[in-house]
Amino acid sequence: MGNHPRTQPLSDDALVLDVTTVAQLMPLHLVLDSAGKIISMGPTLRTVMGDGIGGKAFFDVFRVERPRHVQQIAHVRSRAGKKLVLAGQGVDGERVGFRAMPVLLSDDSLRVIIDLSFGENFAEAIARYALTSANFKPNDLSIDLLYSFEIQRNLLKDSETMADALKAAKAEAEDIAMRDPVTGLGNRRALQMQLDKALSGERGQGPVVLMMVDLDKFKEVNDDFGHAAGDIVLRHTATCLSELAGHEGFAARMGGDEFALFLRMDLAMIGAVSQQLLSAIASKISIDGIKYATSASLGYLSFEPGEDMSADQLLSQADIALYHAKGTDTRIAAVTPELLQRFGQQKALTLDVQRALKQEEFVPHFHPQIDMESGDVVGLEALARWNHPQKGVVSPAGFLDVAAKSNLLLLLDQQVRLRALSQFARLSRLLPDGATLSLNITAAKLRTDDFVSDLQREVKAAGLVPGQIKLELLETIFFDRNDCPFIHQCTALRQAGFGLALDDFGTGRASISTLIDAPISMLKIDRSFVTGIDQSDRLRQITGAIIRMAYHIRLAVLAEGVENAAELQVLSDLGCQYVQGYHFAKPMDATALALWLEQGGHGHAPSTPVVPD
Amino acid sequence: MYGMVNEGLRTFVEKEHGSDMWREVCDMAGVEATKFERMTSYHDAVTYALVGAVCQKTGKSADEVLQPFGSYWVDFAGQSNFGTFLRLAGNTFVERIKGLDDMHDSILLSMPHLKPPSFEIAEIGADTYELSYYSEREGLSPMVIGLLYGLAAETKEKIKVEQTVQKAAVSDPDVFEVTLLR
Repeated sequence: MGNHPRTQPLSDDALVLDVTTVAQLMPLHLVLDSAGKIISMGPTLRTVMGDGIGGKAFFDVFRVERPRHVQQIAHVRSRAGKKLVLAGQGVDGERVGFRAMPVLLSDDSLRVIIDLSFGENFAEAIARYALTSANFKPNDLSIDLLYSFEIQRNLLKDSETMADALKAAKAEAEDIAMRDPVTGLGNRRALQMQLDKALSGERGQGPVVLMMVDLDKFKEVNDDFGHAAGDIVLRHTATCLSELAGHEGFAARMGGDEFALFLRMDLAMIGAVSQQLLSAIASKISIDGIKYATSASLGYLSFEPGEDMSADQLLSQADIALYHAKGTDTRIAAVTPELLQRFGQQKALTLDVQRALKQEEFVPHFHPQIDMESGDVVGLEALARWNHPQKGVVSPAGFLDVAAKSNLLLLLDQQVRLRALSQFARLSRLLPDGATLSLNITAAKLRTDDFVSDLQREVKAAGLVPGQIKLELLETIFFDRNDCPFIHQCTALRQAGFGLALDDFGTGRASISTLIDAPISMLKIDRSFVTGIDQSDRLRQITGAIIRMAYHIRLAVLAEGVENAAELQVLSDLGCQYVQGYHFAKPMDATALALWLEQGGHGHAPSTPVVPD
Repeated sequence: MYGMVNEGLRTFVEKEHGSDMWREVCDMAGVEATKFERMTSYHDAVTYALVGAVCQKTGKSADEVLQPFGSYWVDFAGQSNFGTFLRLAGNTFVERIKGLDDMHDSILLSMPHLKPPSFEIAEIGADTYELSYYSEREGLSPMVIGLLYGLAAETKEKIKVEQTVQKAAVSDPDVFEVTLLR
């Protein structure tokens, strides 16, 4: 401190300030007399509150908002040097708030100076009363803060605008995520959320009906008219559902041509409402100027809010009803306990088939085919059987339908075919030269691009040649003679050396015309033309005609389902070359067949196994 | 109510009961957002619905939820810039109570829609104070009790709080007797 000039305390005289100086130091001040009357005020306060407050009692002009107990002038004095929050009425008639600090004078006059500031209201006051820098003392930071706060407010406003934009974008993204873009309906996710919400509702609100709707033959619309036309059909359907859903219900497109709808309704009305919906969907719409009408199927169920079900369970059950509806005349079906039980059994069977495929439980049984003239076994038809660990041997009726519906048929076919090929290779030494293995082939398998090469590889791997294999094709496969790729595939099989037989002849959709182009070498006459042929002239005439026709176009003929000697005799008389049926033997597994063949092929009980698998 | 209060409630519930519980609380309250913007003003009904849902989910009364939340709030707010404002008021419990209104006034500069409560404290005896709590909002006095204990914990003082007057009309304060325990 040594080099600094010595500071002297200010004398009382130095604190005597003139009015101008007081006004500059405290432009918002008040001076109260001993009775609390306003006797003077600063220039800025005059601008804000007007000259009219002069001479009035402090408490007639100002209200002390904090501390609330300050209600008398003595209280004001007692707050000297402390903060008060005041409010008064500005010249604009509106409330104006102040922060205040009472200052006592030392002249024993009991006068009080109250220094005011606008506090947190200063920006508002500047705007309302058109104040300028001159209204504040030169060293008042408020003016500087004004700029700072205005900038801060603008930044805050920008942030809020940005936050609003982000929220709107988020809401839009969520909406898109919940909406089907083609129809504008909710999507599967939205429906699940709505169902969850409905399920979590209070009991006693009344039943809710969930409908699943599927358009019939929608693929044809896309194929015939194009996808734009398909979209028109989808939007038309969506409109029908939306109108029914109204504001209370909810409609959604689940994907593809499947829709769902749920709404509260009187259960007695479900049938009529469902019919009404299907009729609306079936109403004609214009596609490229062409009137087009689609149709749909509908499955439904009802549930009560609060039920112990999940949205997935509801949708799954409604889907079962929808699937069932497709097979009914009305195209409408409800979920019933029986339907669910049947579906449960089917599902269990499907799982069992899947398991069995992994365990390789599907095996071939062989049904001998006999040459009428020599009595020799000239062929074996491989038939799929399921060696079930609990149920024993299960025939195709017990699994074929489920395997087909669950897209397991190709896999099952392959499992049986591969085993049939290897077992036939082992059995062939017990069969005459030229004996063939007949394999039933599905249309789906036959249409696969690699079928011919795959089969050649499989046959070769089993140590066989194509000439030992005859493929039995269901006659229904052939119904369209214009199916060039299919005919080409058959021709390729023939050229590779495989034999082709037309199975179940006489029962298909194009019996005679099929024979014009199909490159087959054998007809298998369906058992319905054989059973009882010894007792029916009409059957004898028809079957005889088939045999003669086959003879004239150089096709071998095999009659299926021969069950007794009388039927066999008639077929022999008609010139049938080959026969197959229980009269000779039932289908047998490889082991039993080997024994049967060893014992002369006359159906005697087998002895020891010859061809272990 | 500014989003900061709802955020405080969220972190409080998540800390005490886990984030799954908070999602369930929001579901029950019918509140879509599970997080809140601290400086955005939300309707008071949102906060009341959330507190109501916390009570239902935890099986506790509003008092049992709000009082610990009040204590937690001091810590939660103290970790933000508001903590600095609070410390500016002073180093003792009483100084900080006296500084609450000033702090709210300062915050009003930036958050003009805030409707802060007001606290007035008056010494009525040796180490005994009467604290008047003014608020436009109903039912938050249990939170104030928690808040007072939380403030005392911040300044490492011990207090005893007893509510002596329940607010009877909108303009009337809740009154608490606060005793500093030496």
